[in-house]
Amino acid sequence: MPEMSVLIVGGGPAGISAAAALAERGHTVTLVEQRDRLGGAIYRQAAAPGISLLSRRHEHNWAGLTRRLEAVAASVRICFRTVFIGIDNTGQVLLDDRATGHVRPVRPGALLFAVGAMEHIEPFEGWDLPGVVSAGGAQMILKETGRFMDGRAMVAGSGPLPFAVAAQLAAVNRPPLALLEQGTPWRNPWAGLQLLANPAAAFETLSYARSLFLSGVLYRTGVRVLKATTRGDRLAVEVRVGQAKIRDYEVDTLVVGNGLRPNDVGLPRGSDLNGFPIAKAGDCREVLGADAAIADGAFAAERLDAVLKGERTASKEPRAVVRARKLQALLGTLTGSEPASIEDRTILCRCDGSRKADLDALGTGRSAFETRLVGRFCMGSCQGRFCRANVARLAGFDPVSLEGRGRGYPRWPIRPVSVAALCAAEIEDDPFQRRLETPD
Amino acid sequence: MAQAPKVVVIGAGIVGVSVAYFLARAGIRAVLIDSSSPSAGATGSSDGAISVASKQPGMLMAFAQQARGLYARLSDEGVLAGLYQRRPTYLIARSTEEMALLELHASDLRSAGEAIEVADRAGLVGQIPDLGECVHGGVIVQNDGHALGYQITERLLRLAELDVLRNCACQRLIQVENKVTGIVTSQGEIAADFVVVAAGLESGRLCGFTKAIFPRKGQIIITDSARPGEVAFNGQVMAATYIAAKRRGAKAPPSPIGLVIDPLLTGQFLIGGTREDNRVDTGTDVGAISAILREAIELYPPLMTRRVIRTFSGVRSASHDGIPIVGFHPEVDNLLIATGFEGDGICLGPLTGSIVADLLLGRDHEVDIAAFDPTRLAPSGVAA
Repeated sequence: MPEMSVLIVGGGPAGISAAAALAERGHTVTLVEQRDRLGGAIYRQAAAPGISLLSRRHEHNWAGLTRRLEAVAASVRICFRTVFIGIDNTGQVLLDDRATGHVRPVRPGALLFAVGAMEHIEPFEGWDLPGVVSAGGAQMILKETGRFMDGRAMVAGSGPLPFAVAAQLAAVNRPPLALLEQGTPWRNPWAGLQLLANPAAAFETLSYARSLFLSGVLYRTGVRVLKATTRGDRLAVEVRVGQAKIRDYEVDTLVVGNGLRPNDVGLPRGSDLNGFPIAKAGDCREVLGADAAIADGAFAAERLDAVLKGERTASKEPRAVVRARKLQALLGTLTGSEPASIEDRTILCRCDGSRKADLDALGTGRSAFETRLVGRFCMGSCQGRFCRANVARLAGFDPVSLEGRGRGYPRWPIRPVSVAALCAAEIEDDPFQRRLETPD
Repeated sequence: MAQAPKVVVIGAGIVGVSVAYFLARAGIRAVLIDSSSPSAGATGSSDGAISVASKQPGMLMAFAQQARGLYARLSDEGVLAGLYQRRPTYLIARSTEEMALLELHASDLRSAGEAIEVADRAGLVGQIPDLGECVHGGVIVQNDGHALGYQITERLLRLAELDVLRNCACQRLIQVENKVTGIVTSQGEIAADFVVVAAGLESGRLCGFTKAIFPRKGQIIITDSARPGEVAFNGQVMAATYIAAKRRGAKAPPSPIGLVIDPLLTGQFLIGGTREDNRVDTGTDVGAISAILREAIELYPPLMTRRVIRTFSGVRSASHDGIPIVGFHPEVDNLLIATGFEGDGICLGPLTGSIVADLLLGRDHEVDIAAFDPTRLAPSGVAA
């Protein structure tokens, strides 16, 4: 097994920042990144030349991270196209090396997760139709190609992400027909004023607002998507304005998003498992955005360093993290809205096509375990990334209880892994393999 | 009996639920408790083989035939409609030695009255295209079947409108003069005229057969589907090593892997499994999973293109003589026990349930289970 001091999962702002900080403190670091470049969702570069969706602040921060990483390049090994797929029964950390097609079990001296956020979508009838894309998915297409799907688009949902996506669509000359916000920000003028008092957020908000205004994007608040159906080649989207009025739009693409959550599906709980320290940094710990993630990565590195050196770990949370938390709370107040009621026919679990009615049919008194086993919720390829939060809310479970159980760790693989890669797993000194070689 | 007896069933796996279901059919509503929730043990972590093909020749094979027959009957009656599929089992040999073992097994199956086809490589490939180069030949057992334990359990609970007391662990039995009168649980005492212990490994502690039952862990893999609902082939594939393990009965299996490739109706594959004695831990390890998959792709290379979406383990309750433990307790009156099915609980569960219900009601039943009688085991003290 290769010498591996600290394993960092995720090459976004938190992961890079932590890698640099740990290397600066003398640690050998292996940084695994699932894609073939660093940057994470935020700094994902546009492939099309000339188009950058990054604000100047983000460009500046990204340049800073890159420089810091270059300075310690000798102590940081970066493995691209490598995915953390869980921790097995014997405490081995399993990496799916998609570049070479091997699963690699490793035993790092410490483990740091910086795997970012995942999207939250409040399901409505038809959210699973082709033509409906998530806000994050839309942003990924935009950032990687600088283009977007042909035809008429509409953006709907809650929180800052749909707002940003609508503005970015406008920036590539594909302004959406409308931006439909579930919340009613104008009802919270005080929060709005406080937001404007935060220079970076105010600048970002105003520049998005300007771009939406100049492109003539219709911005409506207090609007919920009720239903999407196919009409010819297009999507018919039924929305409710305020309490009663129903409106109908016809679009080619419907972009939906209801905010971000920590991407903690399948990550081990606790800070010390099987003898090695485990930490989380950035959005997978708390969704606070890229600026805070950089600070949080360095902060996590500092604490991990102290644990590894057997020193005390009493340090204060960075100011950037505290500031970002306040900002997120403000944005929550501004754009928050009660989750919608979900119709019986609405699909909750896309992998298995299970509907709200199927969840209700399980009856009351069911455990989270039975909801999985008998109801087949959170059992598909996405491992509950899309349905877990909604099933947990409707059934009244802690989302974590809807994860498969292993021995101390969530069940692996936390992401689908090819049979071929598992067959080619580089296994050394495994008790089961020894038994295979010496049958009685 | 003027009044219906009060019955408590401990364990809401397929065996306990089947007992409660058949009691309900006879008009007796048992109290069903489980230390966790229904199918939380081996029932919820098993393959779907309703298979005579895999059984030890003799009494167990005959019992499995009747158990499979009950599945077919319950399916035709509508009780298990949609949950039981008739389909063959393919026993696969990778060498002439393995083929010799399978031919011996085939002759035992034939004497038991099974419809058998001994096939060479070409014959098997005709049924399952793309079998691996290593496949030498095999035996097709025509009349086997498939069902998933948790689905059967769920259906029986619903049909009998049975409630399960969840998270209710039985701590001990209450006895008065060698007669069980109730149980002490984590949620209080429950009085009973009869107690049925179908609690897997726990049954040993509760009934004083601790030395008679031991855990045998199995690790299992689930793949994705190529196209949802498209089943790759119409039966379950079992490696000859699995049969070798079963024919050895109680003796330690020759290989820690008994390979089964089970094409599920969803288009996914269930691939199992290890046989790891005296391990009760949950979870899976990459060494075992990799080893199972390497054997599996040798037998059926198209699996290479699939992705694994889940791995899990279950703990079988194995008896030292390889024979289930079913019947009245030898020393404590009104106490029944049903455990020790190892990996055959899904296949044998419903029939066992109907037999235990008959025993409890003092009714005759047609199936001979003398060999399952707990009297053969020396109790080491009932947990009282």
